[in-house]
Amino acid sequence: MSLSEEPAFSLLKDELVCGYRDISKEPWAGYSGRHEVGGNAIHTTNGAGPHNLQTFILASDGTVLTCLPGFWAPQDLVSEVEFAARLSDVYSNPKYGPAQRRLMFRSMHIAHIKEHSHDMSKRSHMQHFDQRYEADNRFRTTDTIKESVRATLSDGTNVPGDAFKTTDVLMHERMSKRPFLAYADFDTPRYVDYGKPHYDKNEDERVASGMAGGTASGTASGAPSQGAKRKKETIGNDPAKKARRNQMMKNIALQGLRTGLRFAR
Amino acid sequence: MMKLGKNRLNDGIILSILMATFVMAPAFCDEELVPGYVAKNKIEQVSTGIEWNTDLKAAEEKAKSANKMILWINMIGKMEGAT
Repeated sequence: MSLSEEPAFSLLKDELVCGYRDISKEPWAGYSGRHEVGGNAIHTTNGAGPHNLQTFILASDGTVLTCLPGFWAPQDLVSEVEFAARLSDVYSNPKYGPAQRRLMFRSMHIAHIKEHSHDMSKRSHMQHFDQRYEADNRFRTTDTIKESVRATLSDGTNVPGDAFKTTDVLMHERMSKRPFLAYADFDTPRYVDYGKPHYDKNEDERVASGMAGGTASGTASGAPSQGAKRKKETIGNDPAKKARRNQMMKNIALQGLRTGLRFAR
Repeated sequence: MMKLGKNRLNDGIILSILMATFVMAPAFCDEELVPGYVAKNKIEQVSTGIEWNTDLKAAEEKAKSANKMILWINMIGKMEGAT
């Protein structure tokens, strides 16, 4: 949604070559409730829904300069495009050799974290349900928890919200380990791997205030209510949908086998 | 006794309002709902006002000749359709 808003829209329209691909069939893609055109939408926090949406800024030859996982506010998208332009200058400057370019890429990504505004940092708080998922499932190994805080905790049961890095920090830390990779070589599944694979804010069940409303209300975590779960169609790599499809294929094969045996008799 | 009961009821109502304001609302305070008709206009603006390539190689050719960077989106769904 943020792409239609200025200053992002003019930047995309006039200054960049734009493109997209549908990742619904990718095994690493997330899933959400299906949103038809004309359905409600929501402005959420930076980095929300990383498995469902990724915005890459590439050099003209397809080299990844940066990648924004999930939703980002338009003003933050624009500042990251401006940062990517600086990386593009380094990439195309014949003065630098490959090793020096990679070194500069790493240090520029880390240094850029400090250039983020306080407001951008505030817009980049990781969703609570994503924090919960990280604490519950990979407390020891996740890079989303600040190392200094993890050292003081024994397990993931009571990790405070501010123990988690903001998504703007996480993005640049992860990017710094992926210097000037071709889009085809970029390990998107690992790069975007934080939080729950299911992301849905149940926009269509909300009322104008943004609060959950109606009978099929959403929950604070964005998880659909039982009623909404039953009736809502999903889009993306939904494991339940996949299991249903596999079961259906098994049933068809079994039915075919039975019919074949009946004819054989 | 009646007065005490009424006070308790009032306290209960005030407590409920405070809970709704400070406990439930923050879960949504950083999120703004965009009504369907507005969202539809925005999708149309983005899908028709910007030229979208679906082939990366073609996008690279255009970017090289125009000396521009590429904004490439991986998304679940279609730019002009359901997501």
